[in-house]
Amino acid sequence: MTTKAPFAMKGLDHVVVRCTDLATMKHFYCDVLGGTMQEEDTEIGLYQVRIGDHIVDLMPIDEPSGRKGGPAPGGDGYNMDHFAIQVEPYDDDAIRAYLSGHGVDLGATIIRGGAEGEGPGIHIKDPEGNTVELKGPPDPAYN
Amino acid sequence: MANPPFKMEGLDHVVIRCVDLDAMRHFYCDVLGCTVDRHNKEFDLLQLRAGRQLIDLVTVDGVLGRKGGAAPGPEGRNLDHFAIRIDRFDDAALHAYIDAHDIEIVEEGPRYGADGTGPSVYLRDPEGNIVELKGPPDTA
Repeated sequence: MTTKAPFAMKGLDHVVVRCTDLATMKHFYCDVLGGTMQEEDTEIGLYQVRIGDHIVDLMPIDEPSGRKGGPAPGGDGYNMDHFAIQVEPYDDDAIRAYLSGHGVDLGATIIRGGAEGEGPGIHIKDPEGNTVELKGPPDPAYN
Repeated sequence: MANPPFKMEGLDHVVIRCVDLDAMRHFYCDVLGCTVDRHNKEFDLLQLRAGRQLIDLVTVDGVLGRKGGAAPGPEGRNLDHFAIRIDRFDDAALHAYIDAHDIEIVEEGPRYGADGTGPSVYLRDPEGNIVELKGPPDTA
């Protein structure tokens, strides 16, 4: 079937992460990473953290929306390997020192292709084991 | 508390673990309109362009995918859904198109997104991930 889609994609809008301990996750995404809690919908159980142009939504598994997805993610059998957030500036040493100071689990710094080209990124774990990549701007040395 | 030494600009990519790469590629490329940005065979990572960002697919038996253990099951997922912003939302055309591809609409209606409240449809990809297609914010 070759009918053309009646739309074009502009980009990602939000990702919705299922979680167990909302307070800890809010602390991480807002206080540590610098997101802003934009709206807390306690009726459906959705907490919207603004990260620049987009949103990371936190969905506690014991609130109405989260319950639909069953038990808590268990570290195995995740459907999302990781997601990446663009950060600027990207100073690897400063980022590592800052996040270490907050007790964040830090992974390797890797050069890999992102949406805007090859550049450095660090893989970190949020408090519930999701991998979040903080991705710096593309580096001319690799593009 | 010290401020972070960086500012978050937005999402860059989301990486979905999958089993049947061909079926997933068909859905994201042929149906939704992604294009292959690059296929990193060293890591078994297929990077699909979705407008200004990427949707990456890793197979659970590939180099990166194996690190995440078992294939995702119907429950206990870490990602509830993700949303793609589309440029226009023609309800009738969208339904006709989705129906023609025999894709299930899980839910629909006005939803809040990164740039305001607007119409959305929620689809299930071939492996059960929920993908929201989010139209422009309502001006009304």
